[in-house]
Amino acid sequence: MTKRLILTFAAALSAISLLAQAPQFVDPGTRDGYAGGVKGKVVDRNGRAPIENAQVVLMRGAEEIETVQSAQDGSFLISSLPDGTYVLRITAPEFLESQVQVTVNDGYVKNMFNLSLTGVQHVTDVDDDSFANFDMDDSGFNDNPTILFGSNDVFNNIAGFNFSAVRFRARGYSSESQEVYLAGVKMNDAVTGYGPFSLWSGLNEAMRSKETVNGVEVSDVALGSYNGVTNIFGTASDVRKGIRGSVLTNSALYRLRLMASYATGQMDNGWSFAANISARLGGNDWIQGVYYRSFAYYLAADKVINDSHKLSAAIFGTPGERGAQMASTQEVYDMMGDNMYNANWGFQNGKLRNARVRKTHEPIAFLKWDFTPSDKFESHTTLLFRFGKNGYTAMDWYNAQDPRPDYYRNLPSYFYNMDPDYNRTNREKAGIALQNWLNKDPNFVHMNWDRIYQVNQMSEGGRSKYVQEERRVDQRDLNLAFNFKYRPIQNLVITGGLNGKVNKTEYYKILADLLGGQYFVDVDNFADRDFAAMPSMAANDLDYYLTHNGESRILHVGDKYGYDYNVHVLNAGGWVNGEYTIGNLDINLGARLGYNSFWREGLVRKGLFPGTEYNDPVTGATIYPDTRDGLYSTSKGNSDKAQFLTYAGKLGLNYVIGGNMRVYANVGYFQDAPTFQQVFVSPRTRNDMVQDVSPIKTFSSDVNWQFSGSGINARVTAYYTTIKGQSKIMSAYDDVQNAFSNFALSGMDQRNMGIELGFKVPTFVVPNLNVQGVLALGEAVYTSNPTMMQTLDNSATPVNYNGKYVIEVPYWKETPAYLRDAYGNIPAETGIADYKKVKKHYVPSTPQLAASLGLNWNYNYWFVDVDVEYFDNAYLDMNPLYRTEYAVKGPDGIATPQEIEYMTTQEKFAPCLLLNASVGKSWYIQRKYQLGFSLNAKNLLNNRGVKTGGYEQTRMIDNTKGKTQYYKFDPKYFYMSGINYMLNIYFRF
Amino acid sequence: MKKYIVALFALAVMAVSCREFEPVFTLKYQDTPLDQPVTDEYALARFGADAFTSIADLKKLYVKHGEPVEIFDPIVIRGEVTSSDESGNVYREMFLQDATGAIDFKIGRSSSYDDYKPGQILYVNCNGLVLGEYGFKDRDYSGSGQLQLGLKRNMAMNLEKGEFEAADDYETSYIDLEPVLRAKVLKGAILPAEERIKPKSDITGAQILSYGYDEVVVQKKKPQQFQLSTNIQEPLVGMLVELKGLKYGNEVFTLFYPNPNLNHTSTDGKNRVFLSLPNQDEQWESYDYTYGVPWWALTKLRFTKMVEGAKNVVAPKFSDYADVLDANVIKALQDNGIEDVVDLFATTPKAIADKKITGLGAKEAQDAVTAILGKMDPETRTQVEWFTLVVGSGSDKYGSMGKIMTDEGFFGVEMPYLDMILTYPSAQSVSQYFDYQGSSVAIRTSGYARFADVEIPESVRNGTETLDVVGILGRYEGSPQITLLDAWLSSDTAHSKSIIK
Repeated sequence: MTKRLILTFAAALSAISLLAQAPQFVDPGTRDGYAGGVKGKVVDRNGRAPIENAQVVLMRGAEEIETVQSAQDGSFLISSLPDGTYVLRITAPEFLESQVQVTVNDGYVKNMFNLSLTGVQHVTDVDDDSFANFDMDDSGFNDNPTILFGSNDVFNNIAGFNFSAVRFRARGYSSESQEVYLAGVKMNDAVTGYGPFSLWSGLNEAMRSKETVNGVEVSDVALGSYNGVTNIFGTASDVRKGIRGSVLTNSALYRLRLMASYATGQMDNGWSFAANISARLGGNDWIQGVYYRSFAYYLAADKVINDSHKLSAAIFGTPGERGAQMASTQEVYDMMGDNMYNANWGFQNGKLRNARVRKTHEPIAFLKWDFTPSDKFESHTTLLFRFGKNGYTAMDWYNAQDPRPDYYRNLPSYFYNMDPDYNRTNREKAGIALQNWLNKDPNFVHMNWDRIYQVNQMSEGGRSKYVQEERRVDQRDLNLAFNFKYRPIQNLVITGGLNGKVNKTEYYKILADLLGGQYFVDVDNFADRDFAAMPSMAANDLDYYLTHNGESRILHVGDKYGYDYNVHVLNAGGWVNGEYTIGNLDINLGARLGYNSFWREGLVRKGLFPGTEYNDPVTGATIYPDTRDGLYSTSKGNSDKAQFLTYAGKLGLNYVIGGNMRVYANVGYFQDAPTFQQVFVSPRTRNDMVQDVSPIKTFSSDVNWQFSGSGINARVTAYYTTIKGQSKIMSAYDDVQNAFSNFALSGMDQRNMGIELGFKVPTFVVPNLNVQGVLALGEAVYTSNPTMMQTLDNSATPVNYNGKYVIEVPYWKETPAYLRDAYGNIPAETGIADYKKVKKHYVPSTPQLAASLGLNWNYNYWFVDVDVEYFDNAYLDMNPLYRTEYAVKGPDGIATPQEIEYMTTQEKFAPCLLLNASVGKSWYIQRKYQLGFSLNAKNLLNNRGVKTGGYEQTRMIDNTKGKTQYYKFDPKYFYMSGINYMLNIYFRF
Repeated sequence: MKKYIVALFALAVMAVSCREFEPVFTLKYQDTPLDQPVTDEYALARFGADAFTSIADLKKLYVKHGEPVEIFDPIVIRGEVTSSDESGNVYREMFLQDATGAIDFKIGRSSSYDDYKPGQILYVNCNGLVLGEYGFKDRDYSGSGQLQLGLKRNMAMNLEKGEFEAADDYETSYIDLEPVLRAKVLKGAILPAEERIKPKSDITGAQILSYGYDEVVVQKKKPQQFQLSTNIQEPLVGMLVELKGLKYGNEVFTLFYPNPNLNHTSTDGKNRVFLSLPNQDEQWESYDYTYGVPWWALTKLRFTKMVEGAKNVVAPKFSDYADVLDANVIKALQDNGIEDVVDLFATTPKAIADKKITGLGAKEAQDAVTAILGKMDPETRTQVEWFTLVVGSGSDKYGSMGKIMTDEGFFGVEMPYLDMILTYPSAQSVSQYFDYQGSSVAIRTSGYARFADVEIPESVRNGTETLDVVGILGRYEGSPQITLLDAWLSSDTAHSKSIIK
């Protein structure tokens, strides 16, 4: 059915193009002899400053004739053109695209004089450091903000900056779907697929030069997926010339940022050099415990060897530390009177210390070879290596109380609940707890480091009860990417490439701090409690246990312990895309084929999953471990290889109307492999994989209209995407089972559809005043109920629900809507489902309605920007356990409509209105030096009730009085900072 | 214009807080120094000598069963910590003892041995705390429990009466909250081993009998009447004791709830299964009333194995034992509703006698049972005994566990009862009975204790040897109960090795 639609559409457009005036055939090879041309000067609309290195593309209909770069004074010249009507498309980083029609007559060089580009001024770029580091590790959920690139596109530009504070994800797509490339190499994480923004955060200058396509469009470096492709050039010659520096201070992320860059641009001797360094330091006004101690460096060099060959090399890294922010329940926030309370930190000896700190240094080095033998062919080959370490500290403890201050047993709600069914009946204790929270007793409401040190120092033999561990994910990622662009005949451009990736990532943890004790021991805390009679089961390293007479390793700071495994990933693929131009119409057809494989290599034999029976010399017993389907689960050695064949196909149509408009549509079908973390059930403990892993099948389409020129920029898009067969594994502690648990979901389908509108238009009434706005209105919902299998970290057999291992999650995609009586209640027990309506469940953690409207005034190097933003339709991430029959039925096994509605309804965040404003000015001194400042204030209304994310806890209250239903634990939320400012002072020599 | 920039920058910098830069510049965090222990002089100066009360005098404030006492006076006790929850057998409680007696302090925090060490002197400011009794049962003979110190009890709103009333049977609640503990409990010095309170080892069996009600003894010997009021204050309750020469009693007691999510009060017997020694005339001789449980308690794994054993056993029929049974007896049994061996085990000699069947009296039934048991191997016998366990008690009996189905109306699902247990297996506490100088003493151990899976030494179980134990002497419903702190505190260290490393 879809095929027919596409063909019909294509046929219609071809018909239109035939009706259009047939353009004159301009063969670049035969341009010699023509005297006509186009010249002009590219300037900033605001203040008429020249723009260097703007890209000027001369087009004829939909065909690109020639591309030039503007010089230092902004001027450009394209010569040897036959007479005719052309379109100039001008783009530059930090400016919106502009298009202007130009007619060449009588062999003259047409002078366009000043061609103005509208700047999009932001105080600073959005990079990974713009997002607070949400601590989600033990919740079972993930947080992966995406960054909207594309300074040329009016929607991306405004939405990318304005919506980053609410962690907006364009079109509701996940982070994995957005492809990010560096020098032609795909940088999305090999194991998780997440966007790799943290690898170069702080190197804004070096990574500024990039090319972006949106949605289902095809890029020069890759066929891409359905959520756009961004390729960051990253070589020395792509960095803006000159010496630049900036000093930035802000109140929401890090107090101070210092940045400096130096680039020579391409020099006469063919060399280019570039360097970029930065430091981000300090905390912020809103969230205590969150701090940055991050640095970044970048060094690159290029050499043009001759007309055909160019070699580039670069090395960069962002070593640094960041404190993380924990989510808490609304009860805790209300008691603290602060929605930004962070439970991760406390006072140690009077000094502030955060238990969860990210410590990373993952340098990247690459070598690139550009081969451009002729005008018709260019190729780029990159060899890239990523290495280093990525650590995240956390608290670990042995047979001791949970040290977290907002642990549920420290809260008033644990002691008293007005509903007697909760069986929480002690008002006195609730009152005492409340008083201590309200008093903000630092030993109680913050991490009590001092007590931890007392306990450790008093512990018998010096064995620490509490330690700080550092969970490491160290990657060794080697990539080779080759892509080319070939123009065999006039109207045809073929792009394509080959790529390969070999990745080995080691997951392990080390002991980071003994917190006042002398040593720690490498045992599994939970197995030690559950299998006290069989101490070999608690050994994290069984081989050590068996050869050391039942002793487990004594640990000191820096020792590896707990788990240790490698993930091996091997990817290879190729793609090709052909773009054919007929007059004003452009058609492209592309395909990609790939091979993805990955497996786990366990490096340590865990006592619970030894893979074989063995004799324990200490107790003298033969231990027969748990089996799964009759086989022993094993933790050591290589697992089975998961292998997938992936492929995709895309079709795009692009029709140019007049000089300024174009209409384009894309459609694509993708079959992708799941990632390692969606397939391996519990990689910290064993090699087991989810059975029957299915590939992910996506169909995506979009239709767009774009206008640029005369100071007006606008884009309207409508998109429709279905994604089928997704899987997810969530790991969290399950109270009912008293063990760390993994929920493997598979067969999750979703459908994303909606519209995007972006515009920046002069008011035409008041000079220099523009109206700008974006609207993203979408609906991303789940369209299937997945199946779930729950495994425990201390047992090979999956959890058995009434005899079944794999159960359906019947309330995942929707909650039934019930007819209500006159009082608004569901009639007891006989609640009738309103089959006409259901309450759909939405893809969470991004507002599905995001709108911004504002005014922008530019004059004489001043700019003032005021925007009003409105967000709605954001939903909380769901916990699959609450949506099973088991949870809904409660202990009595009977599911009433009230229980169903209570347990399965998805929480919707309240809508919010935000007001942002910016002002800035720059000065040009002696036509060469630039000095400027920009000041941005966000959330001027100081709205502190904006939820930007959160999750449902996986725990349930089961010890009720009436024993008819379970109760949920309170969800946890992250909130956005209140009013905050950013001041950037920059200069350039 | 430069002025504007400088001014803006200065403003921004002024808004900085030094605290947020601390972690940026801290390279190594300094260890917090160890707290100084509180001395007697300090405590006396702080509270005044008048406030200090002996534990025995504190306990005297509780005068009537069922009436917990909230302490308003400035009362301070000075006690030594005699228990430790390291092994997991003591849970959320801590015993404090001085020269006059001991009290059960309901601390509520788990792993409290991290903060309060055995042998440590604690000064507890009891003002605001509540004294209550746990384990009292109103019976004809003494049914006193043991006194505890905690916070006010749980109260729930009775919507009909419009007032708060006791939410449960516990007269006090756990303290739980760290700020309360920090305010009320001052930590003194940890005494060196030689200065610590020694376990009281001169207790006689008669003393144990006199302070508690011994049901087994009464049944086997003669009933004894005791005064209620004096027994509440019995100083032995809560003390650290050593009992030497314990003889294995060949009796266990466990109560478990197949579905822990559901009601497990005595109002509905469907969810309760007892392992216990029945009354004299309801016991079978040569039946194993330890139910094959030689360990101190049942860990979850062990419990699961026992239930699985019951599930996998083939219910034995009389025909399997035809060679050792009297055919007439078999016929008489089957004619009277006792279809197979399990039914026979499930009934009692008294019940058979009451039926007044010709040719089938209590003696014939007993002989049949003895014969069958003689032919069974121990493993099968344990499996059959578990299979036979009766669901419910008293007048609320539902039949043998292995034979019945769960009730859809109550459990929400219809499935074999044993399968229900296997859906929610959990660790179980077990009381192992011993004879001490003629009195019966239970040693009760939690299934979550680290030594739960340690076996009572074989030599003790077969009667060749006796056992010496050190533990806290508690009292529940009038009966004495020993809580071991660790398996190897029973001095037979050769056989019961502690597995705590």
